[in-house]
Parts: sequence; structure tokens; C-alpha cells
Amino acid sequence: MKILVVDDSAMMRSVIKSTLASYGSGKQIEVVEAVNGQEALDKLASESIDLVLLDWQMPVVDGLSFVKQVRGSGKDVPIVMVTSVTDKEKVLEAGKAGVNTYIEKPVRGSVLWENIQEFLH
Amino acid sequence: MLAFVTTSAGLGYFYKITRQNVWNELAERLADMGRTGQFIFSAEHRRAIDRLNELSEKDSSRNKDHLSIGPGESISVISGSRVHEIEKSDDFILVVQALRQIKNASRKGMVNLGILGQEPWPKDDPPRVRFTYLLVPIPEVKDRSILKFIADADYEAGDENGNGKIDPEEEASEIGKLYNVSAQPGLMAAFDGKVRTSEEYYEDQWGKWMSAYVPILRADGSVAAVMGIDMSATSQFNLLEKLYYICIAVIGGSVVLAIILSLALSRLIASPIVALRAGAERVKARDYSTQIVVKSKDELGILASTFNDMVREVRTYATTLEDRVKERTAELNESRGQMSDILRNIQEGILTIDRSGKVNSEYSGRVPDMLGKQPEGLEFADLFPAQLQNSVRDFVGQLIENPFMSMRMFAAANPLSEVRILSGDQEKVLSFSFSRVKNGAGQIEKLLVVIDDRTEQMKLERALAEREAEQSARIEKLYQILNLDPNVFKSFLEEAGRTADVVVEKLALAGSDRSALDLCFREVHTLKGNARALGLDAIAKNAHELEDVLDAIRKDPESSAQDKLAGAAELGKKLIAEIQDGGALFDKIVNMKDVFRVKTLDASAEIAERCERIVEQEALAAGKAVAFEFENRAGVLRGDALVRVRAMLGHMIRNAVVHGIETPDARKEKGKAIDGSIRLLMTHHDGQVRIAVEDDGAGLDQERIARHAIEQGILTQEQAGVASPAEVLRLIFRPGFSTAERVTESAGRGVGLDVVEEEARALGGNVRVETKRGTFTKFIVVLPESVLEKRD
Repeated sequence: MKILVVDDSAMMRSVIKSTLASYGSGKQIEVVEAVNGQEALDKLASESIDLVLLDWQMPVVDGLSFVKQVRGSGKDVPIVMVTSVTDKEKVLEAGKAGVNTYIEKPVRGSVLWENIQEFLH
Repeated sequence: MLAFVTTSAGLGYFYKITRQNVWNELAERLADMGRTGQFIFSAEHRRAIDRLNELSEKDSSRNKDHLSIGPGESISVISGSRVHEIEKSDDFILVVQALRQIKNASRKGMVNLGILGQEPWPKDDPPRVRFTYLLVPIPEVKDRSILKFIADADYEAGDENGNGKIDPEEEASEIGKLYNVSAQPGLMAAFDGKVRTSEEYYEDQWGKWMSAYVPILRADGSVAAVMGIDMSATSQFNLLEKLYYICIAVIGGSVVLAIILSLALSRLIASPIVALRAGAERVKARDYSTQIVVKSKDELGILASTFNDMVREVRTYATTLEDRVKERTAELNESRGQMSDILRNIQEGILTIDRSGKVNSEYSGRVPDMLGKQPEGLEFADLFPAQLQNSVRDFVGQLIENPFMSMRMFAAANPLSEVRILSGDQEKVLSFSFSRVKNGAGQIEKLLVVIDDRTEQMKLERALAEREAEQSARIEKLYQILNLDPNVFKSFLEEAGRTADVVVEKLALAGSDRSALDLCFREVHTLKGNARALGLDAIAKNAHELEDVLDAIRKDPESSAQDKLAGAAELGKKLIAEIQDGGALFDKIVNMKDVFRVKTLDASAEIAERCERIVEQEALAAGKAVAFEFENRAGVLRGDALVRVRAMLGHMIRNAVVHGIETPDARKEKGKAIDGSIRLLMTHHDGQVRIAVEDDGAGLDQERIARHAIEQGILTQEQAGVASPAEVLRLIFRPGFSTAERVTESAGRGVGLDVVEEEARALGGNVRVETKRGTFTKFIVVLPESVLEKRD
């Protein structure tokens, strides 16, 4: 189980990483990190990723552009957006682009874990 | 079929062997007879044969026609008369007798020796050998296919079988007669010197025959003639034919039997299968009463019994199923009825949207009311204000089309989670929530929309928020009050209440009276300052508002229209209300204290503590040093009386500190102790409770009181002149009467002593004052003893 955590905030990445580590202690979860959409695209191309936890607002390539490029290339890897964007139209736009589900920041560990369950096999 | 073939082959073989044996046996027997018979032909006989041969050659007039006879045919070539002559010759008779001996040897019965005639044979014992004869070859036919008769045992035609006519077989073969024997190869072969027999029967004009051909040899071994012995094969043939038919019949019978047997067998085997099949057909037609009778104990029997069990189970199941279907249908009908009842009566708005985004006809009764229109057949997005329609359409489209997006995400993207809609003339706050309705194949068939009318809820929330703010303000007030010394607060309230009353009263009368307005302004300003100083923000705020208005009116009297004054009066009333509210809160707190403390603590101790605090505070404020003493000899006051007594004591003690006790400097000057003293004494006797507050201050100045009364217009100069000291002293209990030089926050506003009198009266008592100039002032409240708590 390899999870790609994409966030420009190192703190956020480490929060998510420790959440995954503590909740998913029984599972073999490996976390791959990326600081922006471009790096995430590179990681996705070079590694076999099972799930993407994605921030929206990031430099270089933002979350939404990342999703569009991934789906455009025909990849169906589950993408969970972890973001402080709450604008309804923007959330719908993300859904249309191919985001599977959405978790609002600030993230509570239990909420994150509960909502990525369906993608962890 | 196999049985048939086997039977046929067996019988065929049996028939063939039998037939072969019959003919072989017959041929052997004939050959034996021939070989035995040849010994009868002695040399004499042989010579006779040769002579007869020569003789017949001489008499024969043969031509080509005679030699062209067909197989089995014969033809006479010697005239009858000549034949008769020869037949009478010794040679012929000798040869014929030999032939007849051989023939008779085939009879069962014994034959008398002697000349044997050609007689009809007894019916029961005819000779088995029908013909014996002698044949010789003729020189014209080298292959011996046509031979010549020399002699025949029955050379005369005669009715041998006794049927009254000469049959073909009864015709005689006279000497010289030619006979085509090409069908009898054995006969021709016998001329080679060996006994031959026909291999099987043969047929000629005389019947069916089996023959032996015996060469009659001369002394030199050459063949003189061949003796033919013909045995009728008709009986054997008939026997064989019979056997043949029996075989055919047996085969035919076995075929029939085999067919019948196989039919019966197949019926036997097939009938359970047919029964099973028929049973299965009936079950297929839902006749579950079907049971099959198969008695055999083989696999079919087991199959049938399994089938029966199965049908029984199916029957049970089908019956149960029917019942359940009925039950379910009834339930469904009921629930459908209930469903429509629910839809009609439910308070929630429920509707469904089809895949094209249109609202279906099924929706709850509240929906039209909520939306302000009948939604049926309309596009869902069109139910909303224009600026929302695109996002709603987009959202609904995604809900139907996008199975990858989670419902959680849809909830976050829901543009209708709280939407204001104009329904009729009222604005409603509605909340729409969506869920997907999937069909059996898991495809999204429609969307279920639940509409929650939040209008009332929002109103309630707003009201609740207001209430909360109010409550927290009240709690704040309470907190502020609790932070205060209760006496300070109480006296503040009383003073503030009175001030506000006065202001409102004055405002009503003031009109544009500048000095009245000034007074009001000052009073309110002071009140505000006091409220602020005590941290009573609500009162301070109200006072401030009133102060502002009053200031405006005061500074610009020209515009001091009636409405401004009225506004000021309103604010004044509001201020009063606020102060009363404070009072109510205070009373509540006091009452709580009564409930929780008065009964547990000694009321007198509580009074003492209270009074002590007032003394301390007032003394501090006035820059005086005062000692307080308290003695209660009366007992415990009732709760209601306690409240009033406390109020009275507050005023009396405050009055004593502020007006009674002199400043330390003044006391020093007079040679008094620097510390002033106030004593509170409660006594009970003669059915009365006396509460006395005595200070060792300056005492009351009757002249000043009188003068003040004249200034205030309470007394005229004359009245003042004749008034007794007691009458003058009583003036201080008049409302609004104050003689304090300085107006302090606490006393000196002419408020207080009138309250004391009022309270005393309320408790059925009175108040009086005793004083000595420069020495003391003593206020004595006399109350009935009913103010005391009854003792057990």
C-alpha cells in the first residue's frame, strides 16, 4: 500500500504521515511525499501509487491541475483532496475533474482515516 | 435383433446339417443297396445285358431328333411290337427278375421267392425303391449324356399306386428308350466303374428322386451297364420341407416373440420414464399434487421416489410461497397506502428527480407549499432563482453521472444546503439534501431529495441568539452585582431609582426650563458616574444615553421640541426599568441568600456584618473613623421583615456616618474621641421590637433644619417660629429633605429617612428621632413583635 501525500506544507505532510502511521499501524503503508503537483506527477509516473492525498493550493502545479493531468492520462488512482477550499462550486469542479472524495482542513485524524478506508485494500 | 439373428443362424445351420445328413444317409443306403444288388448280376446276367444291348441296337432306328432331347426327357425309338417281342425273351426276363429282386428288397415285409411280377404294391408296404433299371451308353453320344434303357423292373405301364389311371411315374421305360441324363452327373460318372449316388434329390418328369448308380462290371472289368436305383425322395423331401417350414416358423415365431418381448421389455422399462416425464410435465404446469407410482426398486424407482419427495417439497414451498406472496402483497398494498399517506402528511418535503433532471410526480404534500409551486414535470434547477440554476443543474448532473465522487464530497458541494426561496410572499430558508436511488443493477435511477424548511428554525435560532445575548448581559449584570457590596448596590439602586423618578417627573414639567434641565443633567451625570464606578455597565449605558439627550436639549433649548423631551422621558423610563431590573436581580439574590443563608446563619450576625461593611465603606468615603457596635436582644427577624429592616438600617447607618459623625478634625476640635461610634441595639419587650441606631456625632441642628425647610418652601417663617423642636425634627423624614452641605454619592440627597419611615409603616411600626446638639443622634424604629420569627 503506497500513499502519495502531496502538500507544500511540510507540517501538513508530517501530520498526515503520522496519522497514517498511527491509524494504519496494522497495514503495510508506505508514504511517498511530494511538495507540489509537478513533483507528484513525477512520483506517480515513476512509482506504483495506490492512493493520492492531495492539497489544492500549491505552487508550480496546483491540486486541480494535477487531477486533470492524471485523469487526462487515463490513470484511475483514487485521489482524496485534503484542502481548506470550501467553496461549493470549486468542490464540485474538483469532483468533475475526477477527485474521489474530499476532506476539509483542518484535518482530524479519525476523519481522514475513516474517509480513505474505501480506498485501502 | 441379436436374438433373432442368433436364432435364425442356429436354425439355418441346424436345417442345413439335417438336410445334408438326410441326403448323405439316403445316398449311403442307396449305394449299399446298389453294391449288394450288383452281386445278383451273375455272368449270365451280364451276357444277357450285352445281348439285349446288341439286339436293341439292331432294332433301334435312331435319328438326329431322337438325340436332341432335353435333360430329363426320354423318347422311345423301338416299335411297340418289337419291344413286346424282346420283353418275352429269356434274357430280358432274367435281367428284369434281377432288377425286381433288388427293388423288392426295399420292402419291409418278406417277399416270397419265385417269379416276381409287376403287381400293384400293398398300400402299407410299397417298396422304398421305386425304380431299378439298366442303362447303357450309345455310340452316337460319347459324353454319355444320353443313355439307352436296357431294362426296367417295371417295364409295363401299370396303375401301381392304384389310383385308377396311369400316372407319369407309372409309365414304363421300354428297352431302347433314350434318356437325357445330363442333369444326373453321377449317372454319367458311374460308367467309370464306381458306385455313385446323386448328391441331393433331383426332379424329373416322374418326381423327386435320390438315386444310386451301380456299374455292372464284366469279367474283364469293363462296364456292361449302369444300374440305376431310384428311391423316391419325396417323403424325405417333404420331411425336410416340413423341417424347413418349421425352422422358418420357429424363426418367424422367434422374431414375433422377440418383437413382443422387446416391446414388453421396453414398455416395462419405459413406463416409469414415461410416468416421470408426464409427472414432470404436470409439475411444469404447476400441478404440485403430482405423485408418480413406480414400483420397481431399481434406479428408476429411486429416481421416482426422489422426484415425489422433490414435488412434495416444491408443493410445500409453493404453498408457503403463495401465502407469503399474498402476505407480502397485502403488506405492500398497506405500505403503499401508508406510503402515500406518509407522503401526503409528512412534514418534510420529499421529491425525486429522474435522470434527465426533471421532478417526478411522486412528492410529499408539503413540497408545493415549500417551493411555492407544483414541481411536477418541471426541471429541478428551474425551481430556483436564476443565479443558482446553473450550479444546481451542474450539481444534479454530476450526482447522476459521476459515480466516482463521494457523497461526502457532494454534501460539501451542495449549492442547496441552505437556500432562500420566495414562496408566495414570504421568504423561506430551505435545505436540500440528496441521495441516490439505485436500481437492481446498481445504476443510478433517480435522486431522492429531502427538503427541510429551516425558516422557523432560523427564526428560532435568531431569537435564541438574542435571548442568549440578553441572558449573558443579565449574567454579566448579576456578576457585576455579585461583585459589589450588596448594601452599596442597594443604596445605589434606591438612590438611582429615586433620581431617575425625579428626572422623569421634572422632564415632564420642565419644558424649556433651563435650570430644571440643568438639574436633570447633573443628576443623570452623577448617576452615570456612580454606575460606572460600581461597574454597573447596563445602567451606566442607559444613563449615558439619557445624559446625551439632556445635554443636547440643554445646549440648544430652541430646538428642545416636545418630541425630544418625550424621547428623553422615554430614555428616563428605560433607565428606571433598568434600575428596577437591577433591583429585581438584587432581590432575587437576597432571597436566595434568605433561602440558603438566613436559615442557617444567625440573622443578627448577618445584619451586624452588613452594617459593619456600610459603616466601613461610608467612613472611608467620607474620610471619617467610625466604630460600630451591635447588640441584638430581640431574636430572629422574619424573612420579609428582615429585608425591610435591612433597608432601614442601611439608610439609618449611612445617615449616621455621613450626617451624624463629624470629621476627625471637627471632633478633635470639640475635644471628642477621634473615632466616632455608632451603636445598633435591637430589643424586644412589651410586645414591641425596638431598633435603635445611635451615633455620638454632632446631633441634629434644629435651626438649620428649620431654615432649610423655609428655603425649600416646606415651612413659612411664621410656621417655623411656632414649631416645636419635635415638629422640626420630624421634617427630616419628609421625602427629598436633606440638609447635607455637600452632596455625596451616598447620602445628602434628602433621600433615606423617608424610606425608613415608609418601611417602618409597612411593617406596622413607626420611627422617631432623639438628639442632643453636639452629643448624639438616635433613630428609634418601633415594630410590632410579629416581625420576629416564632420560637418553638
